[in-house]
Parts: sequence; C-alpha cells; structure tokens
Amino acid sequence: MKQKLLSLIFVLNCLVWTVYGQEHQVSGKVTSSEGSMPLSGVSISVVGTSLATQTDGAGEYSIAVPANSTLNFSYVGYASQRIAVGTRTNLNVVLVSDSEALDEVVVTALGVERTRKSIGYSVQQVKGEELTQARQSDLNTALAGKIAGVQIRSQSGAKFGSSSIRIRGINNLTGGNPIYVVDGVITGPEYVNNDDIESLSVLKGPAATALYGQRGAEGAVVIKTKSGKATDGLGIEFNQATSFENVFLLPQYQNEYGGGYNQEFSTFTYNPAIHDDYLKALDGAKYYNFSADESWGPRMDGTMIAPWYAWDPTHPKFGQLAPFSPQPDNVKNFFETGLTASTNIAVSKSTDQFNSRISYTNLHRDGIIPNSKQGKHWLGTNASLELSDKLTVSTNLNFIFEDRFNTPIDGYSSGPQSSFNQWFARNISMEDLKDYQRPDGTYRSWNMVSPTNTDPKYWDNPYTQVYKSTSSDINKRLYGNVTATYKFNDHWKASAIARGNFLGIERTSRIASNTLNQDEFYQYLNNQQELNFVGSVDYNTKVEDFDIAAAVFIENRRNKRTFNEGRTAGGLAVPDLYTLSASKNRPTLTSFFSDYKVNSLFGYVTLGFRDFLFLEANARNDWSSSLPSNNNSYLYGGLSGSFLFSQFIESEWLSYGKLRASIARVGTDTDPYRIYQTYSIGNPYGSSPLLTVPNQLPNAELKPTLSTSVEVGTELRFFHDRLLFDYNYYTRSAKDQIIPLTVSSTSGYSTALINAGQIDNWGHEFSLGGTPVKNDNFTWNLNANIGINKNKVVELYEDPANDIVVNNLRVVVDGTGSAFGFVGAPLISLNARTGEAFGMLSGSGYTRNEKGEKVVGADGFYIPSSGDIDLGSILPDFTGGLTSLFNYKGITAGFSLDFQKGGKYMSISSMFGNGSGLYTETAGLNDKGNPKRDPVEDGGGVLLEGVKEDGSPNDIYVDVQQLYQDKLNTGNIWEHWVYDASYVKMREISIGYTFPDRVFGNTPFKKVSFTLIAQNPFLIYAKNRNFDPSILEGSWFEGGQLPNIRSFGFNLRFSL
Amino acid sequence: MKKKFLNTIIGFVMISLSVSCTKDFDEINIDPNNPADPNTELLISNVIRHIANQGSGIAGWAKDIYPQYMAEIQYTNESRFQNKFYDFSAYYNGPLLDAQTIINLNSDPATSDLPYVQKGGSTDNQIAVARILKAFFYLHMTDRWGMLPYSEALKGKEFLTPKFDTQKEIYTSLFSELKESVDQLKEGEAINGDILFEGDISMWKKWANTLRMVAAIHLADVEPALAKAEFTSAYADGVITSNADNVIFNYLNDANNQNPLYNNYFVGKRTDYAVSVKMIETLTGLDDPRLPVYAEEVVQGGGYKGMTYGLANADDNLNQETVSLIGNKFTAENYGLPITTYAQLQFMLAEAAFRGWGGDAADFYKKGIEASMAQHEVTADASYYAQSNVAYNPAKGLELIITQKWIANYQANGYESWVDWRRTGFPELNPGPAPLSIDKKIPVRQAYPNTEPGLNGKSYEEAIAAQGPDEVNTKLWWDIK
Repeated sequence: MKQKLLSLIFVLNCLVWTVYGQEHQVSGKVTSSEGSMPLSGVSISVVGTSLATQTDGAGEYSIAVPANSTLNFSYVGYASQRIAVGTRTNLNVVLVSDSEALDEVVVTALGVERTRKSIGYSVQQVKGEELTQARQSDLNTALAGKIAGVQIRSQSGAKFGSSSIRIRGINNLTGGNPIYVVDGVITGPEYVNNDDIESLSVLKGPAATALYGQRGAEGAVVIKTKSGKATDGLGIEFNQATSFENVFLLPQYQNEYGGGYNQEFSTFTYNPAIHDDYLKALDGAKYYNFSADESWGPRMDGTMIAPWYAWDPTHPKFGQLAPFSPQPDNVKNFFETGLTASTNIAVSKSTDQFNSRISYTNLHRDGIIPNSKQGKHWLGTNASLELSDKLTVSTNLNFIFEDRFNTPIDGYSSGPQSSFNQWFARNISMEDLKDYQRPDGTYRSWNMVSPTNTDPKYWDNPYTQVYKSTSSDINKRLYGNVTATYKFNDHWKASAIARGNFLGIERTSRIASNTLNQDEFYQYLNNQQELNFVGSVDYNTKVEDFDIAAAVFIENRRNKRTFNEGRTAGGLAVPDLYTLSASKNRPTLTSFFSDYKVNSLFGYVTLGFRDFLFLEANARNDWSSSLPSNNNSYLYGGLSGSFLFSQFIESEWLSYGKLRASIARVGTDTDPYRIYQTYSIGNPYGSSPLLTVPNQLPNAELKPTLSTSVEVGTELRFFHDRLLFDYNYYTRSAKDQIIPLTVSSTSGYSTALINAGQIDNWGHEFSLGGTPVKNDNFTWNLNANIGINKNKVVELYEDPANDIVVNNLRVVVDGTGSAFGFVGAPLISLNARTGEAFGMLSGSGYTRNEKGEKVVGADGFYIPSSGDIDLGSILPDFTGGLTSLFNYKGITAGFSLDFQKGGKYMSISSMFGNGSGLYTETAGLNDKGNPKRDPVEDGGGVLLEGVKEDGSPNDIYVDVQQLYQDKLNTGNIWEHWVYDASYVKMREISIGYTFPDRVFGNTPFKKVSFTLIAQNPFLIYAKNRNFDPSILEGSWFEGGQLPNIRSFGFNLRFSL
Repeated sequence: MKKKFLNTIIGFVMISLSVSCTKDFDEINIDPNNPADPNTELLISNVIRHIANQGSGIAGWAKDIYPQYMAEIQYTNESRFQNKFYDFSAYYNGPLLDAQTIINLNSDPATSDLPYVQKGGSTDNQIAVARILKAFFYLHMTDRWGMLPYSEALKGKEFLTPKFDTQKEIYTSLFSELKESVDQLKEGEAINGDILFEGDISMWKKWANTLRMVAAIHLADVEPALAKAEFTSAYADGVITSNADNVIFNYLNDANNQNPLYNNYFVGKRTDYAVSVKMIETLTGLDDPRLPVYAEEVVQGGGYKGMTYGLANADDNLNQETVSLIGNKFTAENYGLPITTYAQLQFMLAEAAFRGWGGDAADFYKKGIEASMAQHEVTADASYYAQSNVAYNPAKGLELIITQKWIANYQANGYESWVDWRRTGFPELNPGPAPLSIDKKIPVRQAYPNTEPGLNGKSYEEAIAAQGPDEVNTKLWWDIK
C-alpha cells in the first residue's frame, strides 16, 4: 500500500514538472513581523541562479522565476527565509526580526534548553564553529579570550597537554577547576572533541550550577554535541587541518662566554705516570672545565681548544681541536619543527523517527622536542530513536584513545630545556651532541667528570635523554549515556538516564641503562569508573499568562578507582630490560583502591509570566559517603529571576533589555577516607615491615563546605542586535572549606584537616560586542570582554578552646606547592592572610630605605631584607579577550587575543639562567664601557641601582659572577626574580575562503572551505620576555618551563 | 493510562526513599589501603629505621661537613654555610610521633591490652624502648637547634602551637627519661620489631646509659656538677663494654635502605664529596694506619690528597679523579653506620678523667685509640702511640683526647664531633676561603625551619627572645667556651 502511494506521488511530481516546467512571474509584498510594516530594500534572489531583485518602498516586488525555484528573502536584522515557489504567482512574506536573544536557546545545567530571556544568571554560549575556527585541538585553549571572567591557564604546547581555565578567580583556598559536562556526563576537557560540539555554555556562578551539585562549585562548561540532521547530500562532513609548529620564544642568551667557572683556559700536560696512552695526542691542548654546567668560562674568542668530544677516544673527532666560539642558535637547533595533523570525518542522517551522527577524529602530533609524539583518536556517536509518539531512546557514546610517547614535561630539573635555560654551556654545538652513544653502548655528554674521564657528570646528553630515557602514556576513556524518555502527554514526561565514565591509564617511564642515573623502570596503571543513574519527572503547563515547568530528579553516583604503581629499585637486573620484574631490589609498590558514593535528590521550578518575567527556584540535597554520618546530608539551591524590561519600552535603538538577579548556594564534600585515623605502610627494612602514623590529622567532625553567591546583571542589545552589551556583578562567599591546615610539625603532624574560614570573592564581568558592519557582502563581528575579580580572606581558623587563631595559611593552589625554596635557604611562599586578598607572595626581598630605594651594603651588593616581605599578589587585576571575524563574500578573516593585567609570578629559570651565566644580563659591557665580567679592579663589574646605607648613591662596583651565583641565587633575594605576569597574546588568526556552491556545482562536494591558520602567533606584550607568562608551569611560578610554540597551518573542510 | 501514571509516581517515591538511604556509607568510607589498627611491632621498626635517615636521623651531610671530615668538590653550598634553615619536621612527623604513639597506646589501659598493641612486646619494654629512642632523637635535635618544643610537642590538636622548652629543661628531662627507661626495661620480656638489637634488652640498657653519658659530657662546662653526677651515675649503671657492643645501624643492599654516600657516589654518580684537606693532613701528619681505610688514593697518580674546604667556585684542577675520595668501606651500600661506639665511650671517660671526675685519662685515651683502630681493623705500632702528637700529655690533654675522638668518629655520628668542637674548640677548624654564614664563621647552631615563625609564631618569638637570634652564630646554652 505504502509503495503504491509513493509511486503515485512520484508520478504526480513528474506531471507537475511537465506541466509547469517553465518560467513564470512571482510577485508579492514583504512585511515585518513587528507591526506588519512593509520592508523596503529586501534582497530577493532565486537560489542557485544569479537572478535577484529588491522590494520597493512599499515592500513590493516582482520577479521572473524558473520552474521549481526557491526564493531567498534576506534583510539586515531579520532572519532570512527560503520559500519554494511551486506554482504560486503571488507570494507575500513576513520576515521575522532575528533578534536572536528573544528566542535563542541556551543550554543550561542538566542540559535543559531554555530561552536566553528566561535565565536569571549569567551564561555565555559559544557555538561549535567558533571553537573550531583555528583548529586548536585543546578545548580550553580554543575558549581563550572568548568568555568574560574566564582566565585561561595554558601550558606550553610542546607538552601535548590541555590547559585549564579558572572561572571568576580563585574561589577557594585550593584552587579547583570547573566541570565539563558532555551531554550530561562529567568528564575532562581533554576528552572533548571540538568537532563534535554543537554549542557550549559556560555557567559561572552557583545559581547556574547548583543543579550539578558540589562538582559544579567552580563552574560548569556544558556541552551539547551535534546530533544527526537532515542534509541534502550524503551527510558526510570532512575536515582536515595540518599545521607546523616551531619554538618562538627562548630566553635571550649571552654569546660571549662559554662553559666553565673562570675565564682562563687550562692546558693539558700529558704525564705518562698518571695518564693513559691515548691522551698523549692531547698534550698541550687547551680546554675549559667540562664538569661545569655553567657558562662563566673563558671568552669565546675563537681560541683553538680541545672540545669535550676531543677527549673521548671513541669519538670520530677524537683529538681534533676546534675554535672556542659562540653557538647563538644551539638551543634553538635542538628543537624540531613539529607537525600536527587533525582529520575529522562525521556522518549524520536524520529521519522522522531516527537520527544519528557518527564522528571520528584523528590527531597526530610530532612534538618540537625530538622523539616526542602524540596520537589521539576520538570516536563519538549520537543516536536517537523515537520508538513511538511517547517513547524516545537516545544515546551518546564517546571513546577516546590517546597514545603519547615521550611527553615532554617541564619542571626545574626535568628535560633538556631545564638544562638549556638553567645549566648549560653557550659554546656547545647541538650538531656535535647528536653522536651521543659510544660503540660500547655507554653515552657521551658535554658535561663530563674531567678531560680524562668523559663520563657524564651532572647531565646526560640531551639526545640521550630524549632517545633513550623515554616514557609512554596511554589513556583510554569511554563515556556516554543512554536515556529513555516517556512522554505521558503534553504536560508530563519521565526519563531514566544511565551514565558511565570509564578511564584507563597506562603510564611507563624508564631511565636507560648506562646513563647518568641508575637505570629504572616505572609503571602506573589506573582504572577509574563512575556510574550514575538518574530518574526524573518533568512537568510543564501554561495556565493563562503563566508558563510553568518543573522537574524532580533522583541520582545515584558511585565512583571507584584502583591504581597500581611500581618502580624498580636498585637498578635493572639485565640492562635495558624495562620491566618491574627486572628490579634488582624489592620494587617500590603502591596499590590503591577507593570507593565513594553520593546520592542526590534535586529539582527545579521555573515560572514565566507573559514572556517578560521569569523566575526559577532549584534545590538539591546530597548525601555523601565521604563525610561523617552525622554531617553527610546537605541541602542547597538557588533562586533566580529575569525581567525583560525592553517589552515596555518602545524604542528604535533598544532591541532587547533584560535585568537578572540570582542568589544561590552550593555544598561540597571531601575526598574519601579522610575522617578516620589509619596508619601507613612503608617500604620494609629487610624483612621487617614498617608502619608509620600519617602526617595528616584526620577529622571525624568534618562538615560540608557551603558557598553562597549573589549575582545581578543586565543584558542589552541595540540597533537590531548590532550592538550587544552584557554586565554582571557577583559576590561569592565560601565558608567552612575543607582544607588540610598546615600546622607546626612539632605537634607531630604537618597538616590537620579542618573546616576553615571564609573567603569572599566579588567581581565584574563586561562584554561588549556586535556587528559593526553588516550587509549582503560584508559582515564584521567584534567581541570584547573583561573580567575583574577581587577577593578577601575574611576568616581562617579559630579554635578558642585551644587558644589557636590562624591568620595566615600557606596554600597549595591548583596543585602548585605553597612554598618553594632550597635546602637551608629562604623560601618564597603563597599566603592567604586574614583581612587581605588571597594569593600574596612573600619571601626575601631587598632592604629599602624610607624613600623606597634599594640599599646596598659596604660590599656593594644588595642587603637581603631581614625576614620575609610581601612581593605582590599572584592574582590578576583583570583578564579579558578580544575576538574579531570578518566575512566578505565567502572570505573570512578572524583573530582572537587574550590578555591579563597584573598578577605576579616567580621565575626559577631566570634565577638559575643568570646564576649560570647563560643570559644576556650577565655579559656585555658595563656603564664604563668595559666587559661586565672583567674583574672589578680592572674596571669590570656592575654598579647596582641603589643607595648605600648612609643614603649616598651607590658607587661600588661588584663582581657579576658573585652577584648572580651567590648573592641573588637560591632565594637570597626572591624579589629579584618575581615578575609582572601581565601579557597580551594573539591566540589565533585565521583567514579562509568558502567556495560558492557553483564552483563545485557538478561534483558531490558542498560547502568547501579552505582556511589558513596561525596559533599563538605573537606574544604581543610581556614584561620578562624570556618566559611566556601565559603558559606558566605552575600556578605562581615557572622553573624549567618548556618554550612557547607557534604554529602555522591550513584547514580544508567540505561536505558530501 | 491513569494507572500507569500512578505506578510511575509510586516508583519514583520508592527510589527517592532509597536514595536517601545511606546505610552502607560508613562501610564505603573505610580505607581499604591503610590499616586502622597500628601494629606496634611495625611502628618500633620504623622509629629505629629513622636513626640513619638523612632528614629525620643523624645521617645528614652536615655531620661530615661541619667537622670537616668531608669537603664538597663542585657544589660547595653547605661547606660555605649557605644553608641556614634546617628542617626538623621530619623528626616530629616521623620517629618522634611514632615513638609517642607507641608510648600512648601502651600507657592507655583502654588500648594496652589490644592484640595489635601487644605485638610490640611487653608493655614496659615497648614504653621504655620508645622513650630511649625519643630521647636519642631529642638529644640530637637540641644540639643542633637549641630550644625545642618538647613538653607540649607531639600532642596533635591538643597543642597545635607547642611552646619551646629551654635546653636546660630538655636535658634535665632526657636524663630522667633515660634513667627511668632503664629501670622500666624487663629482661626476659619481649621487645619486637627491634631492628637495632634484635630484642636484646641488655643492649638497650647499655645504650641508654651510654647515651646518658653522652648527654652529660655536653654539659661539662655549663653545669659541671650535674654533668658529673649524671655521667658517673650512668657509667655505674652499665654501659657498652667493647667494640662488640658498638651501636651500629646497618644499611642494607637495598635501594630503599641504602647508605646515602653509596647513593651519591654510585646511584646518582654525582660524587659530590671527598675527604677534606684537614682530615688527610691530620692522618698523614700522624702516619695514621687508618688513612688507607678512611680515604682512597687519588685516581690520577695515586697518593692521598685532601679536597680544599669551602671554595667559592670549583677549582678546575680539583675533581673526583684528582682528590682522595671517601674510603670504600664507608661508601658500601650496606655500610654499618656507628651511632654510639666503645671508642667514643673511652674518649668520654678520658675527658671526664681530664676534668677530674675520676679515672686515668691516659689509659682511657689509649683504649679509645685502640678501640678505634680495632673498629677499622688496623693496628698501630707502639711508635704511633709514642709520637708527641699522640702520646697523652695532661698539659694539652683535652686537645689530644678530642682530636683522637674526632678521628675515631669519622663517618659515624659526626654531629657529636661538631658538639665537641663547639664545646672544646678541638680540633682547630677554620672556615674555607668564601664562607656565606652571617659572621663568616663555622656555624655553632642551625636555624629553625623557616615555616616555624608562621605556624608557631608566638612560641617561636618567645624562644628567640630567650635564646638569641635565629641565626647560625647564636651559641647554644651549653656552648660557653
């Protein structure tokens, strides 16, 4: 029967073709949906042809169209419409104002889609295409500069890692990251495929995130993935991006002096009594101190010397002299050109009852550090089945497989770059180092015990490090959900959702046999699972002027984790056999298991009145297994409202105006196993097992943390949405935070787990944007945003019963330690003090007189402050970004930049780089025109800016080597190495062209575009340009940070 | 339809009720990775294990650097006294808290009979051993930092900011702790987990008494009467009687329990340390048979050459192949680190005799040298003992005794040699050419960890007010020379 019907339609269609298959005239009138005004100047074109016309002053038009045509009606400020003409000769069209805001749908917590106007808190939404424009493979980097109040904290691209973001500053005493919610499943940003993002909303405050419960306390990035949709082609989208990466920011090195500790060469005298025969060839050869990993050595004046390799009888260039000359690009030459190739292919299809999308992305990267690479595969699928009018079952599943080899790490004593920037010799040529292995399997290095013992001293050859002491990381993540929704009727709906998130990590690393350090193999296996079941009932109705929606949810979540970690001890039984079984001694082993459960009951009610007043209330109660049983239930929630005042203002220029306000509270628990006293097993002594009392005092009276926030804001749109403005003010107060309070070790413990204090945050978020130019051929979008966040530690910890008042807390933020320093030397620390802003750096500084001038002692060196002084806050004054996008006849050009004003960081690399005489600061001429490194008595040395203790100007020259090696080193004056972290950074630039459909008219190719891309092309501004403050290694310092990389590439995109 | 709807609602309510059910929560939150019940046998082993740790025992590099047994070859921070703050947290968090826990568990009637508390041996023996060990660590610590949190320390929440007790108070308490412990020890009852004496109660007694003498002699100048009384009483109570009784901590051929010098020489391959000029010159000056044991011959060219102490910058001509490295015996992975020795005892007795506390100084002195020779498996000819710089001479008795004590204490508990140098000025030690200490002299104290002013400010300030500035040149209570 159905078949017959289809045939009939087909036949009828053919008839229509035959009968009306010729040109005819169409005319009509175009009016506005707002007040039925006629619209003049509306462009009307026949799709697929060059035929076009415009409406006249009365909004009327007339055009001759070929048979079976479709007309496109477009007008600035209104949504375009395409209408198939069919046999009609008269076609009146009502264009709807495209004031997006009115009906724009925003994804909010729990994936609930709501109209923008009805939301009572700040939400910023980004569309998928805005994130993929410059093909940043990392989600957070792609977000940089695009959201007000979001601070991007990226790391060097050389690490293949993902960056993190901080929403509205640091809200709690330990930092913390927002959650990433992909179709309801909470996962990490590194597991989100930008190509699959339909839209992304950043929910900033508790009012927005309360429904996510405690995990959303630091904000939520809610992602809706693309689903299958009807397409006119096969439904295939293809995207290929290739880019090339290079190091673009290295410290400025001096190129005058080479390795060693003093400027004199040594001369080798062969002595048969103590030297081996082979050394005879080097009798009389000049050399410098090869055991030195610093560059305080002789001037690189071309003197012929026996370089490090000349002393190695197995080296092809044994015994050959070479000029002692600078190698300005030696560090740069070590790094290679990296390659990133990312390919995405997505297929999608949709019918009335079924839609599905399958997407696969392959990312391949060769890093800039030799022998480092990353492979990553994302496979994602979305499917939805309407089994009946009432029952829909849908699923979203994502599988990510990542295989990384030799992921570079930064840190002050890790990897080649930490040597190049902190301990190195400026005369070393990378070319010479490439021949790094001796015939007998042992290794050569530039840093050797002595000329007569060429074994590595403190550093292996960087090539040995990257080619032999390798590491591997494999991450497997599977997450997704299955949802069944039953619609009872127009008002009632019930859903059951099962979500899973599984992570497997396998990590190994090795220290190669025969290298400087004892050979070692390390293996880490981690399995994590989260299972989450949610049941919900939704109700919505319209009663006269009221729109009511409500939902109740129950949720059960259980997280389990198991990891095993093993490290060989005492070396490997068989050289180069990298397995735990090869451990000479009992390997160091850890096995860990954790289990954790949270039950929740929550819901919301929203109320809309006549489309201009909206209210929402939500509440959530959690029961957490990690808290003591008498405190493990906690209730929180929020209230928010919005008022569309523009409904009451008749205005030409104001197209949309909204006020919003909200108040909310979020509760948070803690990690499992923190309330009961347990004891720790240590490595045994022989056959005697060891047990110790852990350093953290547990707390059986812990309470959940509660943070309360209030937020007011407005959203304004002018001139038919050509100008957009959004402002938000928020406050947030976090109380009873669960933190490990650092206590004096003399109590027997190093930390005590407590509920501490109150920390307040408040701030402003502005965004201004719009479309300054828009016409048929040309549009220009511009968006700028700025976030200002302030905070104050109101109270920390008081225990009147025991006479304890804690006024200062050294805090660990985002995993970066609370203090840094060297054995026996002063520390620099990050402090939270009662009554002050959080995040003050404190440490040794200069002694200054009452005028604020630095004071030097009788020896001409700065006098370190007696005790610690404040060195500035790590928190920025404001952060923000700017994005721009031009579109001219298919040509697009865009850029995105972000910036930070203020905030301090400490640079360990700068301290050691200068301490080792590597940077320009330590060489060159002094103000007398003499070499700084010459002895002071010969007119060398430098004059430090400052005054003597009696207030007279400093006139005592000091030795440069002593200055940087001793006086300013190892934290004697931390202040010298604290820098302003302000920066302006061009994050991405893209120029692309979308080919008109007609170019590929006869081929299956559609929507073909080609884009040139630059990522991180410029660091426009930074105070200390030796290191990029926008990619800090830690939350407040860098040490051995990997260099910044810049990449250029192209992207090809088409559909079939 | 309606019925279905009703069923759904009922179902929903049912699930809601089960959600709030938290019956299994307590069980879920029990840590499966760490025991809730402390087995005291394992705690005892752990406390002893700390004795030879670098950060929580007596094995820090300063023990060999301050008395100039060793000199740093390339990175000379410590021998230039750039290090000022030394951290004591690993002592309080480690062996001291564990020892205190053993005492607490055994002293509380509610816990002392629990099976896991009885694992460590008899109640009295566990308490006594833990007290001796605590006293040992505190003695070591107070001689480095001076005043310390003691009476209010190790009490967790009860005192998060413990006051600092004076050294006099600490010493007084240490004397009674050691004495009472010996009285509390029960031979014939067990002590388990004893990786130091393998459960030999008599050794614990001997060690405790000898330690009391070590503490007493420190006070010879500041509190002579008390020092003498404790010294003689402890000696009378029975002390170590031969090299066989030497208290030795044995490192193992195991990466997790290895000799730090082995690690520095052969694992990290840094070879940061060599025998100092002072040591080599002293030994060669005496033609001392211990020289070939203490030092290795220079790789290039043989012979013995000391490393210059405390250079500002590495000397291009001095490296691990051109100076004498530490003797093989001491760099072995499983070296037995002497903690308290028979030779040390003899030199203490000699000093006591020199001070007129009784006995024949010359005899004790000679026995001390002989014990040290025997300990290092060498013998000295009669000519050795006859030479003027060795033969006992009451006119410079203290110098001779302490110098030989210094030689004997090589690669052992060097902090004791630093105490002796501070008390007596022997042997004569001079800082290197480029010291970075506040007064450019050898430190006579170490500064408190620089976290203490922030974490325990009031108590810290009170200690500074009583003791003097928190600097390396502030003399300790007993240091009145």
